[in-house]
Amino acid sequence: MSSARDVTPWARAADLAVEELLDETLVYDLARHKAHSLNRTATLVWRQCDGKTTVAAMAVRLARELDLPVNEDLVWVALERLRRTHLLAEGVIVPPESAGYSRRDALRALGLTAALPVIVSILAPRAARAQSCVSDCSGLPDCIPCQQKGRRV
Amino acid sequence: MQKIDRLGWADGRSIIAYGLRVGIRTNSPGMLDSLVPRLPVGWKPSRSPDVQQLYSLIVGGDSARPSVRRFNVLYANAARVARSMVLDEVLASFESDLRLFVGERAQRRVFVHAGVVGWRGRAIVIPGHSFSGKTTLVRALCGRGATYYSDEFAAFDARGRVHPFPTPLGIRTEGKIQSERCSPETLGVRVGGKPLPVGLVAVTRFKDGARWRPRRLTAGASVLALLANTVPARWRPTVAMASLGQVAASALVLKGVRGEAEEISGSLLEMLDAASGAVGDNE
Repeated sequence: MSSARDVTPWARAADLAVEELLDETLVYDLARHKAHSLNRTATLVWRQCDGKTTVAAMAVRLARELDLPVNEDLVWVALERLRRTHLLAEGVIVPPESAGYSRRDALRALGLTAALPVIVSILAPRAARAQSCVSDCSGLPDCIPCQQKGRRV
Repeated sequence: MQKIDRLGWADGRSIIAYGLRVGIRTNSPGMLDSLVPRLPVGWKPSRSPDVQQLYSLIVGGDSARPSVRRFNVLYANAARVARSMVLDEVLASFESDLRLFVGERAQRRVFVHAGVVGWRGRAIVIPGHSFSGKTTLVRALCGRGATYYSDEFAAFDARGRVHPFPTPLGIRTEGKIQSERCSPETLGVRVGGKPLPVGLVAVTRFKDGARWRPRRLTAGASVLALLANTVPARWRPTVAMASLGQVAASALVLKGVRGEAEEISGSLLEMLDAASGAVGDNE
């Protein structure tokens, strides 16, 4: 029976548009119309999700890239966040003994908060949501009447 | 569509805007002139009868029977866009729908809902939804000498530069939801003409009594903040992300709530000067 260290996650590739920034990665999910911004740690982990690299190997590479004493817990945090944002091809099972807040607390205790993987997401607006409201919406499927838009802000 | 084609059309015109061919026809002679102020910035007449979007405006009004009034109706291709007794509402829908069509389909621009001004060779972009206070801030910046670029859309090219889209400013008076449109010239505002690189993006909204204490966004968060206001975000996400990525890579992007526009307009101009090392007059 293989251990959690031997898990080799796959990054999802279908229906994604990817834009590389300096240390970050922008990913647009064409199926869900969600855009995600991955910080450096999340980017490094996601790029290693090739179906061959184990979690243990990812942790070693991550420590080298970040020049910080990170361990597999950090990789699991990243994988869990990537899984929740549907950026992994298959659901990664997070080991129960290392799931939850205790792991994050442990990372904080190690002074590694700056290395925490962060994924910020938005739902891409429909075209009509990204323009000024109009007074008459009759017949416009995505139209925002001024009254409604006024209440939203 | 054939049913609409069979209606009697008295006048028609083809235009081209941002590379898109649009047709407009109406049953009322002279009505097309009323539509001209509502056409997108930079439109030109076109001779081509082939169009990508055809608007059909049926002007209602009184019928032969004195007790009957007919609706004004607008179609975009075969879809009914608006139907109202009030012609001005239908014309506003025409403007809105056409703007949406251009904003979504224009191949060489990425339209982001934002206010834009120019200052010493760089642009300040203020993305945001309606009622976030964009126009007030744009006017305050113009009052300090900035040039007006847009109250509605930041039109970005592939290099991340922003082009003028000088629509009339939509000024809302207290208690009224619909805005009143004022031309920049009427307000004594100078209008910019050249595309500008973006120096500063202010992701902000008005909050009564708030102090402007912005935080700087990372490049990724900056793109998301702009993408949240991007018209073709779903239609052309790859192009949009590439263009907005150029903006985020070079501009200072700040986020925070603000109080009165007058209070932060000077601060924004100073921040832009500091970020770009600019001195001298605004040109």
